[in-house]
Amino acid sequence: MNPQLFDQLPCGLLVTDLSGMVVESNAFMCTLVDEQAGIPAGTSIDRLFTPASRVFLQTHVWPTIVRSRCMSEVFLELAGAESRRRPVLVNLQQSDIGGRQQIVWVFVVTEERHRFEAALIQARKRAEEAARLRAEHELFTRTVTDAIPGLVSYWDRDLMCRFANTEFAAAVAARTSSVLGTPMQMLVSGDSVPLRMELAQLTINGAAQQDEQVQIAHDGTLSAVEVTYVPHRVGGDVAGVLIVMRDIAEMKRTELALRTEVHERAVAETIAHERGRVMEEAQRLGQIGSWHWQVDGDVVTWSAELYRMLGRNPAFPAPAFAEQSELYTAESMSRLHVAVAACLRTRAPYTLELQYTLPDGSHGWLEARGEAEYDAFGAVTGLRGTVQEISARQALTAQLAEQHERLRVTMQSIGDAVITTDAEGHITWLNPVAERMTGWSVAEAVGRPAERVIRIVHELTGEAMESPFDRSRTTGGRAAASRSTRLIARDGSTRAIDDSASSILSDAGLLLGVVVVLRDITEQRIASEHVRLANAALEEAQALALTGSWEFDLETGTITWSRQLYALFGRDEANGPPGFDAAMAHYADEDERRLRAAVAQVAEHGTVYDMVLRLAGDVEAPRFIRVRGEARRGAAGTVVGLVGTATDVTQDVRRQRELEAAILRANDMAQRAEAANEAKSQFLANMSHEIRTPLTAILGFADIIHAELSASDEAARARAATVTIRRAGQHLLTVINDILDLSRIEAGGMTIEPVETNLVELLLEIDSMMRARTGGQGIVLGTTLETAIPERVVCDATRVRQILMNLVGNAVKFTAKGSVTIRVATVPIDDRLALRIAIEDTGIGLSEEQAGRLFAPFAQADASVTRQFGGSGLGLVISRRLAGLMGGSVHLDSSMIGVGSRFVFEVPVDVVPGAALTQALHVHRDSAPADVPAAVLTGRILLVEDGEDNQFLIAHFLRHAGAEVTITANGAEALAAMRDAAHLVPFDLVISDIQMPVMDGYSLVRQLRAEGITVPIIALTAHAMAEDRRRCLDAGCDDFTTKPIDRVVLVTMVNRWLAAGDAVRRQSPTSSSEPVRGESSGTALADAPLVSALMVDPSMSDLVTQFVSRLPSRVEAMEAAMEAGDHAMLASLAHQMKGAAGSYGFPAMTESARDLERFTSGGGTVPECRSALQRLRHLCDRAVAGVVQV
Amino acid sequence: MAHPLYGQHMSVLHRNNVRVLGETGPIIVYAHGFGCSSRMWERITPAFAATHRQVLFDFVGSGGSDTSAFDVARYSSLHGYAQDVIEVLDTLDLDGDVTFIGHSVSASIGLLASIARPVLFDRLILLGPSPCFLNHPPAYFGGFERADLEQLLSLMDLNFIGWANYLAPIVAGPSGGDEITTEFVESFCTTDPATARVFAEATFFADNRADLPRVTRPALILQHRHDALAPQTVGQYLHDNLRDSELRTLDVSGHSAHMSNPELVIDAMRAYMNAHRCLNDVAA
Repeated sequence: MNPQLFDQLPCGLLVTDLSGMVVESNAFMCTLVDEQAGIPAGTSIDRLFTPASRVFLQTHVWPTIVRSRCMSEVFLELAGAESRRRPVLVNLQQSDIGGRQQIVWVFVVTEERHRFEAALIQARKRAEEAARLRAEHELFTRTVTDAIPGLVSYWDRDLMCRFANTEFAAAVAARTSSVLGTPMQMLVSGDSVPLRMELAQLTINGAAQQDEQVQIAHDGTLSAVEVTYVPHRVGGDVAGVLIVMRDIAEMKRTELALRTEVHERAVAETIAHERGRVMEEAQRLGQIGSWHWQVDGDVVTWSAELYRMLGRNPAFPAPAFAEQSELYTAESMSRLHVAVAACLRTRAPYTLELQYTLPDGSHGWLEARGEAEYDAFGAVTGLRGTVQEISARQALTAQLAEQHERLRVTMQSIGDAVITTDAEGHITWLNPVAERMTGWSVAEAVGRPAERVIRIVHELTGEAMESPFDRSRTTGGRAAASRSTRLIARDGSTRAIDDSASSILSDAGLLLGVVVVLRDITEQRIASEHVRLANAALEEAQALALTGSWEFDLETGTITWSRQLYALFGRDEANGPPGFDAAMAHYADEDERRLRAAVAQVAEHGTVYDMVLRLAGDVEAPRFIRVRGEARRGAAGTVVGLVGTATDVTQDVRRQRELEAAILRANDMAQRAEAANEAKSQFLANMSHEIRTPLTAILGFADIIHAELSASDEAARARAATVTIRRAGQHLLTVINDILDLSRIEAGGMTIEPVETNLVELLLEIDSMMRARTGGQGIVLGTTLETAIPERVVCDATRVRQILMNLVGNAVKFTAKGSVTIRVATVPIDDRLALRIAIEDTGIGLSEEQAGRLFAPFAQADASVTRQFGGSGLGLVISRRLAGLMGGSVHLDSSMIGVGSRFVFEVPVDVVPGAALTQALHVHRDSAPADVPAAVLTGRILLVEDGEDNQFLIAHFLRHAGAEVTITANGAEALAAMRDAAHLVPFDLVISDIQMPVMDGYSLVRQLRAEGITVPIIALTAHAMAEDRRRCLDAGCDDFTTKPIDRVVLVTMVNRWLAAGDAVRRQSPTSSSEPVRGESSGTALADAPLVSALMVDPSMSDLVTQFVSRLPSRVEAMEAAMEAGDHAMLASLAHQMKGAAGSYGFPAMTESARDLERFTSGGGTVPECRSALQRLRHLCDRAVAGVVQV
Repeated sequence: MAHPLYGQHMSVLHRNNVRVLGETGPIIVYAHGFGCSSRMWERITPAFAATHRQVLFDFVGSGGSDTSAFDVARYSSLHGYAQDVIEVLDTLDLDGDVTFIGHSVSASIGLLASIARPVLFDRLILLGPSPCFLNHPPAYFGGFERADLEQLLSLMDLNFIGWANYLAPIVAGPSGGDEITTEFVESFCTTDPATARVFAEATFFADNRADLPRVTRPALILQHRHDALAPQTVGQYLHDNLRDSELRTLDVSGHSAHMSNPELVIDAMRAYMNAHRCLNDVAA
């Protein structure tokens, strides 16, 4: 065949090697698996199938191929594109193709057939499953109900039977062909189904019922049934009633047997009595009739008494024997005929009891005796005899027979073996249980010696025991049950029994026989052993738990205790349990009353109690008992007693009390510690306030003096003094701030606030700030990256900055010459990234002993160090604590005297996702810190401040900057001023202290805001705590600054708020991202060299340098004009500078010059003029420094 | 004949179609996987005929076992099959060095049996084992989703119950159908469709991963290089979780190296048993 024809075939063809690797495939095959480009040779055939088919292939198909080399008609599913499943029928064969063993696979598409078959299988499986479930369910229900010993039936609300177990169905099967669907009415209309419709109805109404019915059938069979009616609730409704009938005949029979015995004795006595009475009466009344019958001629003669007895008229002759059939019942007559015939033939006398019929149709019984009469030749001539009325006796006899029969039936059906013997000990009768237990049938046993049938041995020794028969005979009466005996049955099997025997004695005391009763106690023995073990386990458990149990019978008032309770209450068990009052007396008075009340509650309401009570007695070492009690209810549901437990919980109570006391003590201590800590914090805050406020004045006035002193020699000394004052003040401030920081850390008041931070900028900032400090020291500061660092990280930038400033600051401080190097690297710590920043210096270094004390608070390396280098000695401590708060560390890596030190700061950070990596820092070495333009304020400011020093100082700063300032001493005054001004010229800004008499700052701000006043308010506070800041802003302030007041910061802030007005109000406080304290870099910036923006242009830089070089002389000229009071000259010089400075890139200078010109032209006071000139001087100095730096 | 165990003895041997090859030497017990019978080992046993006593048996419901002894409750769990192994070994009362080799699911069955009665086994060889066929992402990839395995059961229904038992009688008519059916079913290397289904569910929905740390016997894991049922990651997982285990990858595509590449399996078995016997000898 043309090989190309394979591609035309409408079925898939595939050739694989023996390991299933594809060798060839036809076009249709490729289509089947959506491999349009062809199935590559070497593809595993596994890959063409769905996972399920793959498994089937491996587990079933391959093993079969290996064995049989071919397969046909296998259903599999190919996997198409997009997880399409394509059912196929596969045939395959292993063949030798071109000298190699290969497998040829043929795939036929069976999509439709597959679907059809799958549906069929599904349907069949569903049906099978449903049938199986149904059958299982039915079987389960039936098994369960059949397992219930009794008759189980279920009735719907209409009392139609909807379910019945096998036993029930069998019990009523005689009456109805099918129980299901039968109305209860039908069943109860008969007699022996002990269902009661009225109880079923009550149950339908919701109340469960119980009923007990005892019946004795005509044959003496006793039936006793306990019937339980249980409502079947569906949701809240009763859907039907479940009725369970339990056969309790066995129980009743035993009861009845007992009663019958008593009854029979009574009957027997009655009979004896009756008999005597009848005889007596017969004699007395002659109630014995006599008769004579002459055979020849059938002549009968009666005595008069007989006429009376048989109710016949004595006037008539007695009826002939042939006519006597009317005298007796047919049955009696026939017996009489037989007896008479026999007597005539054998001459043996007879005695018969005959039932006679009176003319009125009533019946009676008589005893007829007859004997033959002979003639002289010995031939029988007739019969004669007597007749005695025995109706009463007969009735009793019948009753006796009935009783006897009932007894027999009872014996047949009771659970014990009953065996009777005659006086010689031969078996006369066994009941069925005895047959079963001994293995002897009645027929086989009767007549055999009792010892053969009743073989009893000792349970343990196996020795033969005296049989109960013998025991009874020797004791002559009832032999009590013997214990620990086993009965050996005929087949050799044994069982544990109790045996007892009673002799049957005649009136004369002669032994007539013996009745032996054997009870199989195997079950009972097992059960009682279980009970014994359970009790032992309970006792054991109670002893271990120091728990005893008790019962209190309300009816008898008696108490029962378990053994443990005797030990618990210290009573001798031999004396038995106490009475109720005695039991109660064990408890302490108050607790006894509680217990009595609880017992009364239980008795009355059936409640439950559980209480811990103290025992009476030892008050020093009291004992406690936990008593639990609940009601025990009788059959009627009433409370008949209490049951419960008592546990010795003395140890528990003691422990509990000790624990409570300990907790109280601990709480108390904690409270005291908290109070102490609070006091400490308050003290620190106050101290901070107390020290900061005067410092403000000291520093501020040092500033003023410094600014206003002229350049004379004396003034130079004075200026030097102000520098010293200022430096000392700053130092003091640093110390206070450090102490505050440390105390806040130690009080846990320092929180870390991680924010997204530009790490590169942070490092550049540190670099440039510290570079400014090192400028005059001749040491080289450098920052290098040892690894690439992420540009943006999440960390608490403020704290990181504080630590670095401290470490670098220390390095700079202790390094006289050489270098300070900051080395930055990232390292993994655990599963996070950490920054490792090492600060190396070539400074004085530390001895080992100094290094040891380095991180202890208030223990700077050497007292002389403090004197020489200043500082609080807390910086490293604070740095280390802050680093610790952030999960990092600060430590001294190495240090050597005279060589230098290396400190390492590590802090874990989170990298901001997507942050770029930076390989190197580009430090702009030639750019000086940007200048903050000197602010020029215009506007009306209300200052609220109670301290006179600060009033003056702040007002001075503000006025100096050009603002118009109104001073008030407290909130109340400020409020009044605001209200007044509102009608004239409103204030543009309010600066308010917080702590003030009369009305504090918070109240003032709230009041102002409440009145709708929206001017910017800046809070002034000596408190540096973060919560103070938050309170200020919460109260309605727009911004705040802390004392001591930094002039530049204050003016800049005021300027910003005045300029912005309402535009920036309520957006963001300027200081929110700054350190809380006012010691801002503003001071440094204000004093930093000023560099013209034009210096970057080389063509301009010379011009700028020349301009700056002339500046000092121009300022000196102004100062001279000022001293000379030549305002016109001053104004002129200022005017010139105003025009030039801006052009050379010094706009701040232009502003100051403009101020000066305005003030000197009559727009200002002398101090204002001086201030403006002072600013100009300052700017001039900075500009000169800037040129030098460049 | 009067041996008191005679009845039970015979019943287990008959029930599990037990065969013992050889009379002396160390013992190898072979346990077949799902879908087949002890005949799977036919290409392995000749190699050890001269040196070993070899025990072959079929799980109840498979191969030549007494299918009437199949108890759905017992065999719905791999523990039931493990009980088969234990009963076979107990009945044979083997003394000496015992190597158990189990294919596929029988590897798990062998592990369970060794947990229950460690003294019966000296070592285990696990051919293509998988403690769990289902994926439990992210930690474990058995290779299959639940839906895959449910489809497998449908496929089995189709191939056994559906086709053979249901359709064949219809096609062939009520009479004469039995022959076809029987012939068809026998064409697979398995016996009874109903028991196969129970075995399949027990096999593919088993998860014996938690049992692995309880295994105390040393084990050799023979992993097929390309196995659609038990990928290499599964072999690695077993190796990682079975203490005292060795992992050896057979250069085989498929799931039944003992049938497709018996020589590789024989080599691996021999090497492992020799190495361990030496160890045991040294220890002794």
